[in-house]
Amino acid sequence: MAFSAEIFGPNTGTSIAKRKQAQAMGKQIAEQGRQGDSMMIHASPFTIKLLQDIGGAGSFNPKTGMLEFYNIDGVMKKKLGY
Amino acid sequence: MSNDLSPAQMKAMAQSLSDMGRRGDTQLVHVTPQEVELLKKIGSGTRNPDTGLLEFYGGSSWVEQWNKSVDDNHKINTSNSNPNISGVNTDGTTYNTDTNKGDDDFTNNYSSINMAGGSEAAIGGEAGVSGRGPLTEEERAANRASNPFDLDGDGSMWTRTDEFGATTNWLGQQMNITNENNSGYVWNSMDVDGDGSMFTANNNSYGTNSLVQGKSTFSTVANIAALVANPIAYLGAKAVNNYFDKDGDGSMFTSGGVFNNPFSGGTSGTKSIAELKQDELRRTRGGSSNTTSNTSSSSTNSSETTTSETEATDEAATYSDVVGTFNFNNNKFSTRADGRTFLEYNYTGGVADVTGSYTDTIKPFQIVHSMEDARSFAFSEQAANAIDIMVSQLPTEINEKIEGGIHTYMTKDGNIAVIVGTPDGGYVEATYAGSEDGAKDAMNDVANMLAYMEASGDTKVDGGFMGRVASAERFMGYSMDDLNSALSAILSEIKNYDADSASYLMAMERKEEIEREIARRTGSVTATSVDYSTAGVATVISDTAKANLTGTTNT
Repeated sequence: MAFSAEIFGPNTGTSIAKRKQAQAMGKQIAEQGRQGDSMMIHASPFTIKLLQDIGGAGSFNPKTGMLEFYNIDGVMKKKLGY
Repeated sequence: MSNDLSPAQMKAMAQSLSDMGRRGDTQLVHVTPQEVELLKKIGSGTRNPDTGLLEFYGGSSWVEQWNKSVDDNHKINTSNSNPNISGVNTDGTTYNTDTNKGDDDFTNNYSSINMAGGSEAAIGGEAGVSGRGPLTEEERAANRASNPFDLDGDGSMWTRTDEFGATTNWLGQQMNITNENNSGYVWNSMDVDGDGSMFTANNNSYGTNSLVQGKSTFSTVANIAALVANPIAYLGAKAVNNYFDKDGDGSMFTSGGVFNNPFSGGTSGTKSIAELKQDELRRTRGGSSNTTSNTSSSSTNSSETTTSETEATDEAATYSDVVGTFNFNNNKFSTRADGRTFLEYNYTGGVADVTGSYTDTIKPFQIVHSMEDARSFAFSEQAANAIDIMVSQLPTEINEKIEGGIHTYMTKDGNIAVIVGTPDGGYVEATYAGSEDGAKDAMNDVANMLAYMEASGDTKVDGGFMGRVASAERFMGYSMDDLNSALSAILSEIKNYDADSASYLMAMERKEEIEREIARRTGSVTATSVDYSTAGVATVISDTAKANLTGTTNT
C-alpha cells in the first residue's frame, strides 16, 4: 500500500482534516459497541446477510442506531450459565 | 468524549460516517474482531480512504464475484442453493463430489479460496487471478536451460508456478498472468494484477498490485525539471545582499523582520535587531526612535538608566516571546517565494529540457509573477494557504522542523508549476495541467509529500525531496534485504543483455531505481540533489505514460 494511503488513504479529493475527523468519529462510535462488538466496518447488504448467517445479532445498537453483530449464541450461552 | 454528545448527535454522527461507504457499502455496522477476521478471508478488507474503517464491499455474492473472475474450468458449482456447500480446492478447482460437501464451515471453504489464488481483487471482482497454468517437465527443463536462475523452470526467475499452474512472485503474492506480464522480467513479476504495469492496479482503481495502489504521487506531472543556481546571477545577488544586509537577518530588504529599503538612506537599515526592538518599545511609549538623540536630550542618572534598560529588556523579552509565537517555524519553511527569485536559476535535466512549459529560454521566465496577473495571484495565494493549513495539521514535532519550500505558480502558457527545494540546494519544478483537475492533482501531490514527511520524519524539503517521496512510495513494504537481493539479481540479469538493447536499458533503469531507494534509506547525500528528484519523478511520469499507452492499446 502506498505510504500516503496508509496514513490518509488514496487520493479522493477529501481533505486531510475531514479524513482525520472521520477517523476520530469512527473510533468514538466504535466505543459504543456492546457484547464484544469493538469495531466498526463499512458493509454491503451481502456482508450484512453473511454476518447474520454466522450468528450475528443483527439488532440495532441503541446508542448509535447502527446494526450490530455480536455473537448472539455466545451471549445467550453466557446468560444461561453455560 | 462521547459523554459530550446527545444520543441524537451520536446517531447523526454514525449516519454521516455510514454515508461515506463506497462500492456498495451502504451500512456502518458494529462487529467483533473475530467477525472481522472471518470477513477478511472473504471480502476486500481494504480501508475506506475517508473514514479509515475497514470495508467489505461487494454487491453480489462471493460466488458470483469469484465466478466472474475465473475461467470456466475454475468456476464454483452453484447448483446447490447454499454456496457454502460446494468447495474449492487449493488449485481453484471445485469439489462437488468431495466428502466435504455439505460441510457448512465457512472458514474452511473461504480459506481454501484464498489459497487457490483468490486475491482480494479477485474476490472483489476487480480482477481475475490466473497463473501460468500447468507446465510439463519438458517445458520446465527448457526454461531452466535458458536461464539457470529460473529454478522451477516456469519462464521467470522471479516467479514460482506450482504443479496446478498457480503462480506466485518473489514476494509471495499470487499473480494474475496475462500477456502483459508474461515475461521473465522482474518488473513484470511485480505486476500482480497483470494490467501491464507494476505501478497501476486494475487501471488505477484501488487494487492489489505489489507496489502502488491507486494513483501514485506525481503520476499526473506533465513535466519535471531541475533549477540550479546560475553561478553568476545567484552568487552576484547573494554578494549584493550580503553587502547590504547590515543586520545579518538574511535579507538586505529587512531589518529584524521589518521591511526596510537599504537604498533609501534610512538609518534603520544599519541597526541590529536588538536596536530595532528598543526602537519599537520607545515608539509604543511615545518616545523617539533615535537612540542617540533621545539619550543626549534626556537628563538621567545612572540608576534611572539602569531601570529603564531593565524594563526595556523585560519588554523586549516579552516582545520576543510574542514574535516567537507567531514566527511560525522560524521561517525555515516557505510557501510564498517571490517568483523573481527563480530568475537566478537555470533549468537543467528532467523530462522537459526546454519543451512544453519551458518556452523561449532556459531560465524559468514562464512563471507568472504575482503582480502580473490577478488569476495567477489568486491561485498562488489559495495554494499557499492550502499548503500552510496542511502543514499546520502535521504533528508539532514535524512542522517545527520543516525546512525548505513548496511554491505554486501559474505558468505563462496556463499550466501549474509546483516548485520544491531550497535556495542553496536548488529547486525542482513539476508542471501540472492548468485546469481544476490539474490543480487538484498538484495539491494532492503536495498532501502526499506532507504525508510522507509525517510518516518518515524527513523534514528537509530540499531539491531531492520530491525524488525521496516518489522513491519511498514505490518501495513501500520492501525491506533492505529485498532491495539488495533485487539489486544483485538485476545486476546478474543485466549481464545477459547486449549493451544498449531495450532489455538492457530497462534493466538499467530499474537498477538505478533500486539504487536510489537504497540511497534514500541510507541517508546518502545523493538523495538530496535535484538530479535525484528529476530522475525519480521522471520515472513515475514515464511509467504512467507506459501504463496509459497500454490501457489505450487494450481498449
